[in-house]
Amino acid sequence: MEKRKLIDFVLALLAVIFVIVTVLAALYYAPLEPLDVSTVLYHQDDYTGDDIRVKGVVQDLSGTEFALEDITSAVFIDVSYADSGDLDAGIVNGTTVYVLGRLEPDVGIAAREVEIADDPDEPAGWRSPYSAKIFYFHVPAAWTSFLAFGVVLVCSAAYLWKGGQKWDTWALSSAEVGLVFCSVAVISGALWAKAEWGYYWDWNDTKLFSTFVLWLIFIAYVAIRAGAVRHESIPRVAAIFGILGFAAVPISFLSSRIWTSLHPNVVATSQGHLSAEAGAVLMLGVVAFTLVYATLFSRRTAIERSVIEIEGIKEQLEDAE
Amino acid sequence: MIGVEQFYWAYLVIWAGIVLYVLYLTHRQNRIKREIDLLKEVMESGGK
Repeated sequence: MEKRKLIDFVLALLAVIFVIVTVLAALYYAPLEPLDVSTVLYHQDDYTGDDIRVKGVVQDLSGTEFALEDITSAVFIDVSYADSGDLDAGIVNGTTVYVLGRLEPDVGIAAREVEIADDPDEPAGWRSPYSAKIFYFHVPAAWTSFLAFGVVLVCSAAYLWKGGQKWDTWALSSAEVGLVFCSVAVISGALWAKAEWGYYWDWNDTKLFSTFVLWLIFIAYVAIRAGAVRHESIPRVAAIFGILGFAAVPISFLSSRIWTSLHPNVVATSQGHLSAEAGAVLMLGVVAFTLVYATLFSRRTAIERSVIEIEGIKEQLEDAE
Repeated sequence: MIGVEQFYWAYLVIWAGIVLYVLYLTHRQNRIKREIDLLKEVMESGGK
């Protein structure tokens, strides 16, 4: 018992240290621009299928060139959008252009959204580079929620396969903690979107929608378990629900890579456009959030063990009566 | 600078969310501990 308390203490201490280091690094060390994307791309015949931000001269599918000197933001959309007729909008000097994403051989680049810039002298880059620092917490929170739901998957499968209350306890605890991190990722992402895109949410965006569905699935999981009735079939039903619910994790992760999405892909793309400093701070954040997860998971499982202990005592009292 | 407000809001939401959850867990753990102590007392007193 004492050993468990010691492990909990060390975990919590490490989590606090890493959280503080991450916060300081994100505020004072991390670059405002997490992406190293100064490369000017033009008709990249040898460039296939990777998302990238673009500055400089671009070309649409009809072959028309645009001198885009005032790009203040870039979003990544599939080149298939080029067929939607969005390219017909005339682009004049001094406009702010939101530029596409996937480049295919001989396809060139297509502009999707065009708006007149308020300030033509605004430097190129993210519309809101300061809010981009949310990235250093948003991504680790999302990663931690995926990890937590992965633990739900493994523990649920183990419960169905082997039985044993500890697997059920771990699955329940991990789902609840994962839900906290998923909520953090969704809300922080929405706040970033407001600054960068101008709105909090886009229901048509596959990344946002699939993550929202993932969030709802685990809200339902926790709600099932939080019910006052503790029927003996509930752990088994929850285990099946947890396994099926995990399917939403890869869908959420891959959605912006497979389907059209405004959500940037800066991690785990084949090119990996994160700068070294941004990558280091991001890794710090991932370690910090994973430690926070481990600490919260440990505390949550302790509570569940206590609940089981109470039930045992109550049964003893009933037997004594 | 655009986005500063959102950055601090996000900062607040992230850490306030985690801290609130820790407080909730602590509260729940303390309540359960009290319940266990009470039940043990009942057991020791012979179920009275």
